[in-house]
Amino acid sequence: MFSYNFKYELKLLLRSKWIQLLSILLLLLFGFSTYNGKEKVAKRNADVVAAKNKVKENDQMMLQLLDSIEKGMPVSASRWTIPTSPMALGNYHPRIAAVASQPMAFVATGQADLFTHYVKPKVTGDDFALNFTEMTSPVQLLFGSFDLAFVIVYLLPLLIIAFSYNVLSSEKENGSLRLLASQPIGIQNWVLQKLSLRFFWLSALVILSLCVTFLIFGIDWFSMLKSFLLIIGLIVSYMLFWFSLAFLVNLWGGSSAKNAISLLGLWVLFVLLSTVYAKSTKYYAISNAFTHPTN
Amino acid sequence: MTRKTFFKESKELFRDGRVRVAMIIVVILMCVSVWISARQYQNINEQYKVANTSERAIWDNQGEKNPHSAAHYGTYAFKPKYPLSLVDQGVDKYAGTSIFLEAHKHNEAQFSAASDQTGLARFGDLTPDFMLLFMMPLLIILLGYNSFTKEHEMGTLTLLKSQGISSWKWIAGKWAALFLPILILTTVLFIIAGLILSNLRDFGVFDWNALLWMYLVYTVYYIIFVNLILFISAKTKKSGISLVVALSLWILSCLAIPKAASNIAEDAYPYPTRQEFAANVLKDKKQGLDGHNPWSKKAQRLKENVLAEHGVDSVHKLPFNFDAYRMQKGEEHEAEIYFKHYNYLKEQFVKQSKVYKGLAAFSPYLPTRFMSMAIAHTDYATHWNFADAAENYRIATQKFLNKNFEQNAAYGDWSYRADANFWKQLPAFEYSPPQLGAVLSQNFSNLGVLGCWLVGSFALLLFIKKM
Repeated sequence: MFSYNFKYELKLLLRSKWIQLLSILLLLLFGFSTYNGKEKVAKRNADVVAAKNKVKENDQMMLQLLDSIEKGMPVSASRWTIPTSPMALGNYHPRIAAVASQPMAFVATGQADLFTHYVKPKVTGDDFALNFTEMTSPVQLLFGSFDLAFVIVYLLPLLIIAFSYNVLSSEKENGSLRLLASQPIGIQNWVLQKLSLRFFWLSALVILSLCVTFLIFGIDWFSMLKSFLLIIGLIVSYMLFWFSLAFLVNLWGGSSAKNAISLLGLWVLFVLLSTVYAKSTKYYAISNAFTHPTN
Repeated sequence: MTRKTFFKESKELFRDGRVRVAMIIVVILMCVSVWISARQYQNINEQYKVANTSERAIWDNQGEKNPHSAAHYGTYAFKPKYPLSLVDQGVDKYAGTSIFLEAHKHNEAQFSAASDQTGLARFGDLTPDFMLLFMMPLLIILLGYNSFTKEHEMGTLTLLKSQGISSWKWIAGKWAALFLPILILTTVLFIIAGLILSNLRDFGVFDWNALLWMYLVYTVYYIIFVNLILFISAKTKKSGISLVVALSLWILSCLAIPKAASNIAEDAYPYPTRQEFAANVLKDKKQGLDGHNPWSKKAQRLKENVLAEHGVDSVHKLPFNFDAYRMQKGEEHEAEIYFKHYNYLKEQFVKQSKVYKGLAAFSPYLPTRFMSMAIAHTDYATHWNFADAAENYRIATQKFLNKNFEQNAAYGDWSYRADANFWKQLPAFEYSPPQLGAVLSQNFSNLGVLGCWLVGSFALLLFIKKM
């Protein structure tokens, strides 16, 4: 029975153009989000490189200045900025302290658009732990980024819902359930097999499109096989969770539309609302705690 | 006939268990979100008051001090929270809440709530704006996805045809039945919000007109969704497909396009990093007058000019303290530099806004979001407005302090101390956001886009035929 199910399910999916549609959709979504993630990481890296180059340039000028001082030539710099003093060096020629981006950083923007990626610590000055936000438009932060994590966390469950909400109910609605009932297989078992097959095909499509996308964008996933496999594992487990929900709803549910609405309600609950947690942030207290320097 | 369709549809909706459950859930979530927001609003307002008074007390009681030391000692400008932020939190979570006002430096607002939270903060918040912008359209989809498709599926279309009902009357009936529950829900919510707001202690600048405008914006937003959902339902054959198409539309306009817009806008018009910004400012500052450096070329030229103007040959003979005068001039010069650099940020944002407005052609969510934030005074423009007001106050404060130094101390006397009571004479920082009229005219283009959506979506309904 399983082999029949396997064969006809594949035929069904191919003929109803589900596989073709899903492949194109996944490729588009993964492609666009990976591009966005890569752009963000590239900008971040370019910013750090530019800052480091600037330091190098300044160092050249500083060395020239030191050279002239050593030779006893008059210099035009103010006396407290002359780098023969360690304090002047520490204050006027700071180094760069940067957080290097990890190879998988393009997958999720997370809080990376909020925080600064490099600072220039000086001898004097404020504690960097006080303010480490980056200069961005808050509208940007409000809408967030269209990254791979968004596609996986928000959109993939919706694809799964669209792909599986009517597995049983459509048989009912088309009148083919009676035919099915005459087959030597329990209805639970049948739904389980059918959904497992869909899970298998969707996982295969997701992994394949992810590989293709990474290939197109020149992401060397082979060299970071471990994190790549970890991400694949994460995605597949997440998909399994949604397919299990779909399985339960299919068994319990009634009409196709009813199932779709129940699953959608679960999506809203898990993706949008479950992250709501009580938080009372002290906005203004922080700046007050920032004690004033005494002259 | 319209009326009959309307009653029949309403009755059907009311009898449907799913619809009742969904309505009840939405109402409960709305109430919870309003309650959470009202509590948070009061909480933040109290924090604001405490911070404001204690900061002013610190300033007032700093004792005898050189005015320029006081200028470096600095004070804070705190961004107030406005009543309508109860309805729409806007970008408040992501924008800084306080600005440190000190000599020589135009600081950016810092300490945003989001920077204290984890990545989870980016997911949904249970706030009224989340309910109004995301959940209500979803409810409309739920109520209306099968409005036309069910006539096919239940075979009632043939019966309808025999009634001789005209197409537009039929559509009008369905439209009214779908829109009325949404309208009632929205109206009740806004009335509750208005009552809560007008009963809050010291509700400040709350005005019912702003709430009314917000109500109008959201009503238009829902009308657009009602029209689109009815159109989709009429153009698809099966309820399931209609639901999927309607949901895709919702995801696109509420989630995907805003995010994509944010990526595109940032790619096209990026902000400089904080360090770059600081470096650019420093570069410009070096070329100009430094109030603390009497030996620079600019300072020397200033000295010569002032001496010539007053017809004396030494700064000691001037009727005021030249150190303070020079510092004030330096301050003015630095303020100009900051003005230029912050203006660049504003220009970048104006260009980014154009990207958002362009993409608003594909998403009614975008203009609604921007309008709602603007009316609630939680948008980026209000934030800029506040930052500008704080900067003007900073410049005035520096002038006030330098003036005292200039008139009361002899040249070179850096040991001069201003009286302990002097600080109280500095007027307190007052900020009031732009009036509703100004906000509306500033956001005229967003209103226009929303209007186009309204007209366009009604035009789509014309394409529905009875088949």
